[in-house]
Amino acid sequence: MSTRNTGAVPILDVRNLSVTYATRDGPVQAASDMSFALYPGENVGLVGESGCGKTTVIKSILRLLPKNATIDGGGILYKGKDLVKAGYEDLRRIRWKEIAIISQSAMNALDPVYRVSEQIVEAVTTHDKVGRGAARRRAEDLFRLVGLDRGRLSDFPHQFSGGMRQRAIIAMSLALNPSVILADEPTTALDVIVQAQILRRIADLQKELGNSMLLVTHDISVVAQTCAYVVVMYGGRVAEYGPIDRVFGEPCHPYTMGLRNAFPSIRGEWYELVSIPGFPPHLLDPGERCLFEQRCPFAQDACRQTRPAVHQLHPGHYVGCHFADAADEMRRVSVLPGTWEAVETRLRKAGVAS
Amino acid sequence: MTWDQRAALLEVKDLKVHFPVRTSLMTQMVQGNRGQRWVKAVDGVSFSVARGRTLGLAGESGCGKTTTAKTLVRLYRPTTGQVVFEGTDIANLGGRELTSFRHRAQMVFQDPYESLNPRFNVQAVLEEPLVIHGMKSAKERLARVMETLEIVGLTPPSVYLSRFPHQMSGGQRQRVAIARALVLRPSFVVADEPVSMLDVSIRAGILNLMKQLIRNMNMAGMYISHDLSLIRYMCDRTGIMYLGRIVEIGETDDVVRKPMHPYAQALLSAVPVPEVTHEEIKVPLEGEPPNPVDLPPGCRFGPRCGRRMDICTRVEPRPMAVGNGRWVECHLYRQTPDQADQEMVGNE
Amino acid sequence: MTFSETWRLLRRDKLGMTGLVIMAFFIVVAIFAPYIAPYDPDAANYRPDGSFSRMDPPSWAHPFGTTRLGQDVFSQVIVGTRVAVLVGVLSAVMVALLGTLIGLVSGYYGGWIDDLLMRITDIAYGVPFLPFAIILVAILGPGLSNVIAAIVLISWRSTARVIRSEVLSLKHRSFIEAAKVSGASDPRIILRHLAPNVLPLSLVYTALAMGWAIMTEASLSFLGYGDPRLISWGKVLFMCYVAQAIDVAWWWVVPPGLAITLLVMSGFLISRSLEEIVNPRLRES
Repeated sequence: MSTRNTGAVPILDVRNLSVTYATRDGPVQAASDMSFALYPGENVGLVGESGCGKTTVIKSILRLLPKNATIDGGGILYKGKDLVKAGYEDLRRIRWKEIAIISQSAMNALDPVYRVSEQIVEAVTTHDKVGRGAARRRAEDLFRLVGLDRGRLSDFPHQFSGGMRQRAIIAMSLALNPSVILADEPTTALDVIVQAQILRRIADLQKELGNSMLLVTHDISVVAQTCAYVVVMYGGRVAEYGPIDRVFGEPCHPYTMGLRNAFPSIRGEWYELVSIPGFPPHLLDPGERCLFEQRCPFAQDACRQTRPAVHQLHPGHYVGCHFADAADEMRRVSVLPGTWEAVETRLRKAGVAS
Repeated sequence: MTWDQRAALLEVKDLKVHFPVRTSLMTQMVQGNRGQRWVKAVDGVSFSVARGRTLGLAGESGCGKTTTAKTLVRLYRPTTGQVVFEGTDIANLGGRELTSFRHRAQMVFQDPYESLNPRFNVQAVLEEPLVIHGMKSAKERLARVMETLEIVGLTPPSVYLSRFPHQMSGGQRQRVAIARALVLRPSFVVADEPVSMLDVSIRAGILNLMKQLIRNMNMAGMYISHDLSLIRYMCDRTGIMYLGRIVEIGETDDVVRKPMHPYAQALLSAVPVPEVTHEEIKVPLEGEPPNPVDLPPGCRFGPRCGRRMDICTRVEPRPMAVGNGRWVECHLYRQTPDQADQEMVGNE
Repeated sequence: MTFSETWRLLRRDKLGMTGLVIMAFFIVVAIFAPYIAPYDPDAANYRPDGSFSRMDPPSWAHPFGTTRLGQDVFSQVIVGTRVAVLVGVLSAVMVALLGTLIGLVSGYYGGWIDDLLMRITDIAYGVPFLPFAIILVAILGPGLSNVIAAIVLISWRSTARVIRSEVLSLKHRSFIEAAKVSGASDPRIILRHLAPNVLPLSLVYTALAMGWAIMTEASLSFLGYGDPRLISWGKVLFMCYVAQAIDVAWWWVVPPGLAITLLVMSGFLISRSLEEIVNPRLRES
């Protein structure tokens, strides 16, 4: 499950993507040198905190960036075609039909004045040359697939609960059988049981239709259960990227180690949670240093002088840390209680409190 | 019934909080009050909390956990039942007695972006409760504010006094909100999903702070969340709520390791774990909880329960003691008539 | 939204600033009116040749000409500014206070208090503005305070309604609940927590009310229901009408008409730009 077929061609290949926002205070590097790939039928998780650039990556793929943003480097290859260079017509065809998005905000994307069925039929007929009758039958199939009662197709969105609305959105996103699903925090607002239902539906649909999914979330538990590969983002860059067993099992970046300490688990022994002291970096003129250096318990002079390049540590496992080779030792130390407190003390002395 | 060995600071007995369903003026005029329907948000819950201990309430949205929390600090008035706080039933307090109760019971809200008045700076936020409760000396108030900021880890406190909410990070705001709850030195604090709006890497700091404060200041704590892994981390006892009732309550370890109520089992099995398990996602339950206006007869979980029996559609289960301070509301654990009698006596 | 922020955004809005400058100009004129006005506005004037200045067109001596009774129109407009500004400011402040208070109380308490106050608001909405003002002034007698009373008794309705709906959304924010848990009394929550948060919105309606008040006063005076002892712009127009000079002496009509238009417009401009600031959704379009 976690090793990729080396002969296969990725369906979505993000290469050295850099995105800059022009702001009043100067240029902000929201994403820099981001590289990862999504293979057919595979799920990749994109994890990180708010402001780490997850949304920028998603919006770049769909080319829905705001006006003050520019993609100033790299490419996004979809089936070998570079989306960064694609024209408006190409993009319009690809969006939804080939690459669909399920997002948290999409819960409110259903138009309140139209019946849910009309909205799905409308979506299907604008992109596909099928009659309304066929589109209606497709909508019924999809409702069954996402676990909604067919009889509720003619309801208005406000008659649906949050979970039902999210299912309807999934049905709409999948109506055209896209090759790639971008799921942006698809279950964050939902309760655990509904979350399990929806994740399960998506997994079942994938099995049936063979599409791939890029799952963007801050919840590493959800990624751990649904994805084969994971990209951990920090400060607009890849901190660590690789097979899920490796990244979560034997993390090689101090940030990933810190994240693991911050998550409680319902199973196994109770353990003390440790937060990562400090704040995410300002991406306005970040300088040459490693972006995680301030919050890192293992930072050395080298980290203050040069930003580490993302390099391959094991086949398919990439890390952006100068000391990734010493990961075993860092891992051992990272779970000791004093390790992160020392960072807290250091930050306090520097006048930064969390 | 007291489950805790230690004397309970707060004891809730058969608490019900029902809200009227708002109907149109026309309907009211035609039907009068006869047709009035009620949302049974909390429909008979009992529990107790001792000093130095934390009780968790878990459940899906709409299960009544937040309503319970807000009723305990008297944001809502109980419909029936008792809330005995330090020996006094606060269910119907008013006037000066209510103010005096407010001195001792506080709440931390979910969203630190909403729970601080955007026009108040930190000092104003923290001084207000002191002013209300009659601390007249400005010097004394300032000293208490500074001390409290120090306690919640906003140091040096002088830096934060003049900051407004929009000048602080989410974590800092939540610390200010916790400081506001503590500034009166209450004996009971209830927190409603206090970290759900915060970034993952800083949640642990807030959780550890609250744990430590409840222990060190010898308060009774309550923690409300839909996330059982957080409840497990924070709480000594855990109650699982479904449609306004606590269907299972016991020591956290017992409930989490071996849940007994079918709903508790479902809820627990749906909680994702941060480890890679290579297991397929299990869907423990289909559908969503029904509307708390029209409750089914018998067991309210019955219609969704995989282990439903004949009795479940007719008889509402009563809480049953199953040992080690644990209670389950489910016919699966029906006792012999003898035990049932004892339980009835215990409930009176 | 803080005051300094509101002010910063207002300063960037050209139309809003234009309104503010016009209003400031009239306020200054009103304050210094006796020093600016070259003649006694009630006194008759004579030409250098000693003849009576009846309906003289504008000249250096009388920039806006004279009336049928030989009074200086310029001085009348200057002195009339006082009434306009006084009525505008007083009514606007009273409308804002009354409307905001009713909105706060209605929205915060809800229940029967809300029902009662909102039914009264509905009734106020049903009352036609000018006829009501005329009847009230006719009953109570002409006089500036009665004119203001008439304006206030009607204009609070829209402020009350808007403030109430704002309070309805604010009162479920958890900082209000937090204040309650802290033991804050209802008056404290209304005055310390809710009022400052609805104030910018209330300012929008204050500026609007100012415009309406000035227009209403002018209308009443023009219809002859103004205070007989005071000179106002509306009354200048009324005198002109009574003298049957409207189509003859343009200089008697245009200056007070223009003054009314400008001052009313300034209120609307300020209100519009405040509204954009308070409601960011309007700012984008």
